[in-house]
This record gives sequence, structure tokens and C-alpha cells, in this order.
Amino acid sequence: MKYDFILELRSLRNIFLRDILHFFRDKTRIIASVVQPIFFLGVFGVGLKSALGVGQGLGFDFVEFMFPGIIATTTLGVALNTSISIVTDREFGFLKEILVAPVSRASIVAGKIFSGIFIGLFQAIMLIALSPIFGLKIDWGAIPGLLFIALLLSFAVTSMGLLIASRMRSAEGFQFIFQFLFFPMMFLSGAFFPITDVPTWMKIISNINPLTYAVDGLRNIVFHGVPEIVRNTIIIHSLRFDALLIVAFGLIMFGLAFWSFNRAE
Amino acid sequence: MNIIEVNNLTRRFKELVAVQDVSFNVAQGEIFGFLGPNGAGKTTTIKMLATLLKPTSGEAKVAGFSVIKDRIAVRKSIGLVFQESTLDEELSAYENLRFHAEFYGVPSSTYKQRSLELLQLVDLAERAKKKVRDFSGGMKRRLEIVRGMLHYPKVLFLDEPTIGLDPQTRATIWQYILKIAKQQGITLFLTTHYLNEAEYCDRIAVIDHGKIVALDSPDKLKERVGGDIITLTTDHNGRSQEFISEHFTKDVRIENDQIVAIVRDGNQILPRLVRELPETVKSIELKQPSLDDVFLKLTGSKIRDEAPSAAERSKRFLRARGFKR
Repeated sequence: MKYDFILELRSLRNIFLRDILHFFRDKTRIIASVVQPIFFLGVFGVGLKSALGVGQGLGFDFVEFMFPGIIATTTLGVALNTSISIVTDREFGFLKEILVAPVSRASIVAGKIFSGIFIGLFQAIMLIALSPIFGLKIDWGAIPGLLFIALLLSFAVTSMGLLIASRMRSAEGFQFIFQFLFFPMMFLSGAFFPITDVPTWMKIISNINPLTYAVDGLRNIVFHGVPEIVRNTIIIHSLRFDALLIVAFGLIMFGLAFWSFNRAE
Repeated sequence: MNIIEVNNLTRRFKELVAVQDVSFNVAQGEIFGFLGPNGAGKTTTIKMLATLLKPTSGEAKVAGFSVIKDRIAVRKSIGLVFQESTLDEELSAYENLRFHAEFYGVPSSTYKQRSLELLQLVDLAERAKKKVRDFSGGMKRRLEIVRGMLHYPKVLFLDEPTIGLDPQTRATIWQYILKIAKQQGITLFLTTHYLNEAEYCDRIAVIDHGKIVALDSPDKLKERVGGDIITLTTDHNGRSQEFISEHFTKDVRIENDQIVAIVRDGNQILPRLVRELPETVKSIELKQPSLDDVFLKLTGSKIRDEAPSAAERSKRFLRARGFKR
């Protein structure tokens, strides 16, 4: 089959723009993207800090400790939610319009991933922008790094979401899988408590959890200027290793999603 | 010139043979109909021609491209309207058209003008900026039909274009389809299980159990029934029957005190009959056989029609508006 390269790019952009249009027209999603950070940072971060007192006397703040975890989990949430659009498009018929167009499946999958990345980044920017309200002091210099990890994570998670969506017939089914994945991934990533002193089975799961590396990578950046002794208690891998693992996971998921879409229908 | 060429096309789903050894050609500019009951293999055939389903064996060419080897080229040359809606209801009518244009590589300088033109064609221009979600069933259908031809396809496939719509709306949709075909000079390939709708086609392939049982113009197909039906009463039916049998047709009988004669070219026979018959004609009626009669004769079973009386009404509605030659 001969594909038209320009047409492929146009279609890719088309799929991306449509998702963005949907996103910005959906008032509830916009509101959620603001309310969620407030909830996580304000209620979760500040509340747990006073209840647990983690980090006191260690030279860092609990909200600061939580912040990378919150960026990672909210990005996970919105990126997974973006891939659900494939399932709703299938339910409402529009997917057919895309699938009969003279466009390769790779462009369709890539377009969806771009929208996942865009919305994931949008969410991360919201979080960073709102963080001063909760007493967080983030260096301007750290922002590109944080967004870079959020970008990699969005790519990996959207690809994973698309792989699941390629086989899902109903949005309800996807929601079920979403819950099934979201909570274990969130809690076993070190986002809210360090996974250094946990049972072995928990460690194994957290090691295969891509979110672990995102959280770790983000912490690498947030705790950049902190003394080595303190860093060693909360950071597991190097930033480079974290980034590499997320990319590897993302590429595998992208490949599988592409393969799965090519087989279906 | 043939825009669609189908040779021995077959599709199996495990044991089930959905389409069996089907061959036919469709000429450019033709309105070609696939008529058959649900499950006869109509949609399977369309899917193979639109490259959505690979044939088990056989070959087909659409706009000169092989549906097996040249799928992208085929896809560029066709428009598709599915049975169920494939619109994005969160977008406006115009946005739906714009995205379609992007997918098919229609230059933006062209599609703005073209979209407006097409929306006007189906009387949706005033709603161009409105969300599709609030459209009626008929309006959505109209939008889908024009979207399918936005990229200047050579063939527009319509799979049961009026299914699920009320009779009034179905008639209106047909009005638009025929208008489009006439104005845009596009080849239409459609499937239907409504017999009266098949009559709008230039040619019909009657399909049953995956096989084409007949292929001809609606009029020729009707001729297979044996001709037109003239029903009359006279002063003396017995003598009249003998006279008709001698001078016009052997196929004549008396039924419920009426003479029923099956003749070729009823339109010409009727006046002659009134003139030449020695008896006084009290009443006379000429009826053309319907496709119901054809389908019954060809397949031995009646096609399942959801609302025959309603269908009849929509046909009359269209005839009244002068859309049937």
C-alpha cells in the first residue's frame, strides 16, 4: 500500500486537533484539571503533612515530597482518560469515519498520542502554576525538567491506554480497567510513601510500574539542590535511568497499540 | 466505462458463505442498487468494495484500482455512508465536514466553498455552525450523505441510506439523493431492503443468500413477471375474455367478476383494447407489477418490509414531486 506522506501528517494533526477541541469544549474536564490539583495538593498534601509529620528534621517538606507523586498520578489519570476517546468514538460511530479514511493506522495512533501528551502537559502546567498557593517553591530552572518527565509519562501512558482501548467495545469496560490499573499504579509508585521499606512483592510490583520511574525522575529534579544524604533516602535511580525506562515502556506500548489496531477491524 | 468491476467475488465467515461468486459491473454515473432481505450479503459486498473487508476469493476494481492491492487509492476515490451514524455529535456540521476534508486531503481553499455548496444542497446551510447533537435523524443523514461526497469521490456507497427513518423523512432523503446524483454526476451504489426505494435505481441486482439472482433495470425486472396487469369489467366478461385471448394475450383469466389480462406494453395496449373491444367497457385499470411481484417470482419468498404502506406513501410523495422519470 502506498501512503501519501503529507496526507498522513494532515490526518495526524486532524486527530490531534479534534481531541483538543473536545477537551476545551468539555467544561467539566477543564474544571477538573484545576480542581484535581487543588484537591491533591491542598487536601492530601497539606493534610497528610500535619498528620504524619514526614520529612520533619530531614531537610525537606512533605508537600514537596508529595508534589512529584501528584504530578505523576494526575498525568497518569488524564493521559489514560484521553485514550478512552477511542472507545467512545467507537461507541458513537465516529471511529469508522477515521478507519475508512485513506490513512494509515500509525497516523491515527500517533495523533491520539499527541493529544494525550498535550493534555498531560496541560495538567502538569496547571499543577506547577497552582503550587505556590500551597507554599511550594519550585525553581524556574526545574520546570523544563518536570515538564519533560511529564511528557515522557504522558506518551507512555497514552500508548498503554490505546493498547487497552484497541480491544474495548464500551466506555464502561474501559472505566473498569482504568480503576483496576490506576489505583495500584498510583499507590505502588512511591508517590505517597517511599517504597524502600516494603515487602518484597510490593517492591517487585513497584519495579515494573512505569509510574515509579516517573515519580523518581520528578523527585530527582525537585530535590536537585538537596544534600546527598537526604536525596539517598528518597531517590532510587538516576534521572537518566528513569527517563530511559519510561521511554522504553512507552515505545513497547506504542508498538503493541499500533499492532493491535492494525489487527482489529 | 465501468467504474466498478466485480469478478467472482466470494466472502466466507467460517462455514457461512456471505457472498458467493458474485460478478457485475457498474457504469459511471449510474445509480446501482443492491436489493435483498437483511442478511443477504449486501453489506458484506459493500465492505469488500470499500476495502474494509478482504475477499476470500475473487477480485474487484473500483475506479480502476484493485480493492485488494490498491486499498488507499480505492479509499480516496470513494465516499461511504454507513447504516449507522458516524458523525461527531460534539462538533458542528461545518466542523464535521472540515475534519473529513482534512482526512481526504481536500485543500482548504476548495473545501470551504465546497462545504457551503453541499450544505446548501441539502438545506443545512443555516445550521452549519450548530452542534450535530441537536440535529434530527433526517438532518444527520443528509449531513452524512454530503460529507461522503465532500472529497469528490467517483463512487458514493450508501448502505441502507434511509434505514431507521420515518417514511416522510425517507422520502425527503431520497429527494436529496436523486438531486445529488443529478447535479454532481456521481455514481451511486446503494443497498436497500425497501422495494419501493430500489425503483429509483437505474439498475438493480437482486441478491438473496449471497448470490445475485437477477440484475436489470427495474422496468426490465418487472417485465419478467410477464408484463403489465390490466383489470377490466365489460357488459359481457366471457365474450370479452375470448376476444382478448384471440387478439391481445393468451394470459387472461376471470377473477372476482373481473377480467385480468397480463400484457406487454400495457400503456399502448390499453387504448387499443378500449377501442377494439366489441363489448362496452364499464371500468378499466392498468397496473404495473411491483418489485414485490419480481422478488416473489425470483426467490419464491416475499422480502421482509418493515412498513409497506408507509413505503408506498413515500414513493407517491416523490413521484408527485417529479423525481421519477
